[in-house]
Amino acid sequence: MNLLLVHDRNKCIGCYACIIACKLEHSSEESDDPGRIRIVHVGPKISGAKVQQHFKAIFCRHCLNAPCVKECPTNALKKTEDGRTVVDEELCIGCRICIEVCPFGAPQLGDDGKIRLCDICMPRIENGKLPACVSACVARCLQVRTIDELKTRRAKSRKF
Amino acid sequence: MSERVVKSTCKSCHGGCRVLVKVKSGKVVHIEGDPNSLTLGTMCPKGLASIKEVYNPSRLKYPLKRVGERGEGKWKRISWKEALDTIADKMKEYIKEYGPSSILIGQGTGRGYNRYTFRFARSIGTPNVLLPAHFCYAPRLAAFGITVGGRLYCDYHGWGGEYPKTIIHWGKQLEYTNADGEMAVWFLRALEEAEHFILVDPKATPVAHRADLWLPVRPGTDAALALGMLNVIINGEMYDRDFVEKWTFGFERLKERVQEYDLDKVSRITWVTREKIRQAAEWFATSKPGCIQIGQALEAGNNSIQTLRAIICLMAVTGNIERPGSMVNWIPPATGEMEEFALEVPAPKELPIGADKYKLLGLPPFAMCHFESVCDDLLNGDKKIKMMHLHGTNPLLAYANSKEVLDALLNVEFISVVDLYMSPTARYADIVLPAAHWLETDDIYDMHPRFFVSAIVKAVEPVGEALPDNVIFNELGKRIAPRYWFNNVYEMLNYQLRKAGITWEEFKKIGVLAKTGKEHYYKYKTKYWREEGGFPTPTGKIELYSTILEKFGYDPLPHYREPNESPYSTPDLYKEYPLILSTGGRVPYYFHSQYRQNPWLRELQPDPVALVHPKTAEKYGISDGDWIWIETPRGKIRQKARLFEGMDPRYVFVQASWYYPEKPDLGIWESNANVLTSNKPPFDPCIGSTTFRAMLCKIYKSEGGE
Repeated sequence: MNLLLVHDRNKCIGCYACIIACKLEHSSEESDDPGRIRIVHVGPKISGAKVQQHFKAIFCRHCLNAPCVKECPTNALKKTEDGRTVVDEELCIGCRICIEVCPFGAPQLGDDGKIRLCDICMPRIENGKLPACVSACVARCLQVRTIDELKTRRAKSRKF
Repeated sequence: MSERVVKSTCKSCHGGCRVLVKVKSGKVVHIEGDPNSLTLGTMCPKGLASIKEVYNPSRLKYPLKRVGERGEGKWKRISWKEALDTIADKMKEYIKEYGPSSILIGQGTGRGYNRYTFRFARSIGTPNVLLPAHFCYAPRLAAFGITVGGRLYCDYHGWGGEYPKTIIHWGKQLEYTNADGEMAVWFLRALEEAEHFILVDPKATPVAHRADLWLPVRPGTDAALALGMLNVIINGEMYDRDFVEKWTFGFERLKERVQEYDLDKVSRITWVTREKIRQAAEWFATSKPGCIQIGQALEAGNNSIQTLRAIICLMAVTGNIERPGSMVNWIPPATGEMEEFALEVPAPKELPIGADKYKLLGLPPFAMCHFESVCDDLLNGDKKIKMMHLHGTNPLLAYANSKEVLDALLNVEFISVVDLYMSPTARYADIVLPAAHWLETDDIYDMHPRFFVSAIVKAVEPVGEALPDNVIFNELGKRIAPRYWFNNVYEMLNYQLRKAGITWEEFKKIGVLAKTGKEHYYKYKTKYWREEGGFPTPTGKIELYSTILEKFGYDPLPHYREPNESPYSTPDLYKEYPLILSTGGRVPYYFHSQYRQNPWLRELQPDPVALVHPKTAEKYGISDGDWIWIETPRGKIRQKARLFEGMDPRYVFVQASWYYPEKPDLGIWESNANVLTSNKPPFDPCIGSTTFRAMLCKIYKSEGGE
């Protein structure tokens, strides 16, 4: 399907609903998910009369040349045919090399010692729903795009 | 396994977002926003983390009776019958011996059960209803009430075909707080349509970078700023002449008053440049429609009513009233105003404590007492209040000067508390009742947004023996004033829905009753308020000059008053306490003192955070992440410094309402900002507001760290 999650750092307000929505989506009665997205407030800096700040989102970008996949010693991290990076939890030993080599530090470690990555909420998408974080996002700064859409035009923010 | 989805209404703040709750084998397993609702399926972290609230291991599960000393933490489980009978018997005893006004009925920010609180108090005959409202929301209701005849809301909706061209956010972080009638999602949508977004706030908020103009006003000086803007608009003939002539009262006297507020003077008071003030005034007056989002910060000072009145005058002279995209008073849905449920019970004749002095507190429809006056009486007076029934409120954190609040509470003979948790205040109670979570409650939600009511539908059975708020009120009410209460809560819900011609069972399925059309606009040109048109005020017009304030002996025109503590009002104190402190500012994952025990929310920010400008931090040898002491003449607390460039280096912001549920003594004196605030007059003269946003403090590094 070649889907990607994209984030508008200027529209984001840093409410962290995406983190909790993600946790909720991926947690079970037995265990809490770490949440697979993080938001970092950059700034504010004052330059003249203007305020400069943005909210950076950190989540798996499903890199085409994914360093985590290359470095994973047990091949727990793999690329799917449609371009996503996925974790085989059976194989994951929780060594955290993927966190080290990821330029964003995106992989999150679960309480069970296994790595968790954004799965773009594929089960929800297959049910005709938006990913949990996108659905909750009050600023409409998170959205799902196909790679083709991103190739043809800059990702415009989702309208209300 | 059985799985079903319950449509309900989130009460994690008092916003009222519609939610879809997935229940599996009698347990909540998932919550998300309802995409087909007024809030478009959006949610905040508090609502989404409700699953960790409802199943939080530290929730109260059974009624408890104190067996040790107050605050000692020794409890005995008792039955609901014993608990309710004891509370009711105590109430009857005090009513008999001292009269009903010896009983105080208190609630917190409310979760749509305000009408039960007021009905209950009225039904037992006490005027002494306590809410933390005289510094949060009551000034807005009162100022709009006396000036316009009813509260006006920002019209972000576009139902009249227009969005605001100019949006001013004034002491408000609507992006994080859905609480007071407008919701983040509506504002953020309207922001995309706006030509000018003006932010009036001492610190850069999370939307500050999207503002076309930021006025970093000195805390507590907002009235001067508004009067300066009025000066620019009136003297520059930018006001709406037609609207002012036909629909306002006292314009010439307002014009005379604003001459005292020329831009040089206002700029000196507010620390905002003349150019910015002029630009903001020009945009608001000429780029219309426009709206002003008023925040609670403006109510938490010694001049709350006049500050709000000055801002309402800005709306009125620019004609930004009742037109699409401006300020509108919403028409309630088919149920009528749900407050009727409280108001139909006759109000006690006696005034609430403090309302003799702060007269707007005694105004109908919702008279309430003044907590600082109550505490003063408990500590230094006749101890008029013998019993407090506190429903979902935490006075030890919510009111100014927490240490004196505790001393006052210890002078109350009997205290019953209803809460989800053993809160700091509950620890000092005689009986503690376990409240059901909103996921365990059937009720009608009617909080601030006004144009809709919505069903809170029980998704699961309460944990332990917890009972919903409305059930507790009804059961207590039946014991003391049965004629005003119902056989069961569903009869009570049906009764409240009667005007809409539906039953609770039907409403549950419908979910929401709302009015979202053109009928909201220009009501003053119709018979809605008055036969001949106009506003529901004594003069039938918007009272720039308030005849009600005049009658009470207050200044009928808006004016500025310097904060009680400031570089100018207390220069000697300023030498010792050289920084301006605000306990305001909002974080998206806590709501007042709530949610510190929610693991998902707490991990987002485990420690209280104080904002310190890097230049100030350097001066005091403070690094980012250091624990620091913040000290005022009342006391000192510790919070963790975050170096924050988005404000004047002379300001410090601390987070309010912190305690540590994980500590045995709950750590209520460690980081609670109300250790720093003053409960002494002067308060706002009209409504008694305490100051939370403009004090003086000093800061220094807390050696030894954690």
